[in-house]
Amino acid sequence: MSTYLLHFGMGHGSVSLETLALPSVLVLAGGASVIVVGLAIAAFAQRRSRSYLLIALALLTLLARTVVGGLAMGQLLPLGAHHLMEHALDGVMAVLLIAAVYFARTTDPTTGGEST
Amino acid sequence: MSETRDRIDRHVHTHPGVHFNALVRTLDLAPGQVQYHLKRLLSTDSVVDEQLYGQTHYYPPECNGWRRGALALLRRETVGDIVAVLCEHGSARPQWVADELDIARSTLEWHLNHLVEESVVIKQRNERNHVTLTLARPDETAAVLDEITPSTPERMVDRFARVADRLLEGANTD
Repeated sequence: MSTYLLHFGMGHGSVSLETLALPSVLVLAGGASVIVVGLAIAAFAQRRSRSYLLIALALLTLLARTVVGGLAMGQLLPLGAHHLMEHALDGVMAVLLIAAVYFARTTDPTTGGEST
Repeated sequence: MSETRDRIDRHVHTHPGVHFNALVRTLDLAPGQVQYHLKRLLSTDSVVDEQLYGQTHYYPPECNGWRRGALALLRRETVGDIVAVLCEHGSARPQWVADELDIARSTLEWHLNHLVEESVVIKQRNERNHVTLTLARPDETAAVLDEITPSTPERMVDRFARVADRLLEGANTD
């Protein structure tokens, strides 16, 4: 539990600057993530290509990171799981971006691939 | 109706006067695919087309007459700027408009010819043969301009797509 408190800057029970900083950072990060994910989803709706879907999903991991951070702050998620999930999400984002780049090459000219 | 054709049909209805290249670019489809589906849509009268000044523009069937020409022209960047200046100032001398937009007088005249032909702009001459430009239908023109000017979110999505395209292209250059 003490590590948990230290992680969020709440050591010794005093209200430090960090106690306020974390929720603010989460709110700002969440707001920015929502905007960027919104843009990505709108772009995917317009283009309907696999690469755009993968980019939207990759950016969605940013939002997921904020959610995970929020859950940990609200003590709904243990610290260990929080760290694991944050780093796993980094990996997921990297894989999704690699896939987006890969599919940009292989499917672009015939996006949708319909014959009728 | 296939999904792709449905998308093209919807895009033409939400963006009346869109031209072929813009359809291909915005929907990220192959030109041949767009051509094929447009031919089908034209044959069922879901959309109508019109050749105007070197481009083929597509409209929903209910869009007709004056609006067709105005929509097609105002979608061109420089023309949109010229008309926006006239909307804002009511009437203006050609040289002043050219200076305001920092375009060559010949460029302005080229676009003005089309605008006059489509009854968007009127050239009025005074007794000393000086030309003043005014809008033929100020209210309707302002409404059309408003309709086709992308909102801030729309613009952001466009730019996002452009950045993503460039990144994907850059990552895949052989």
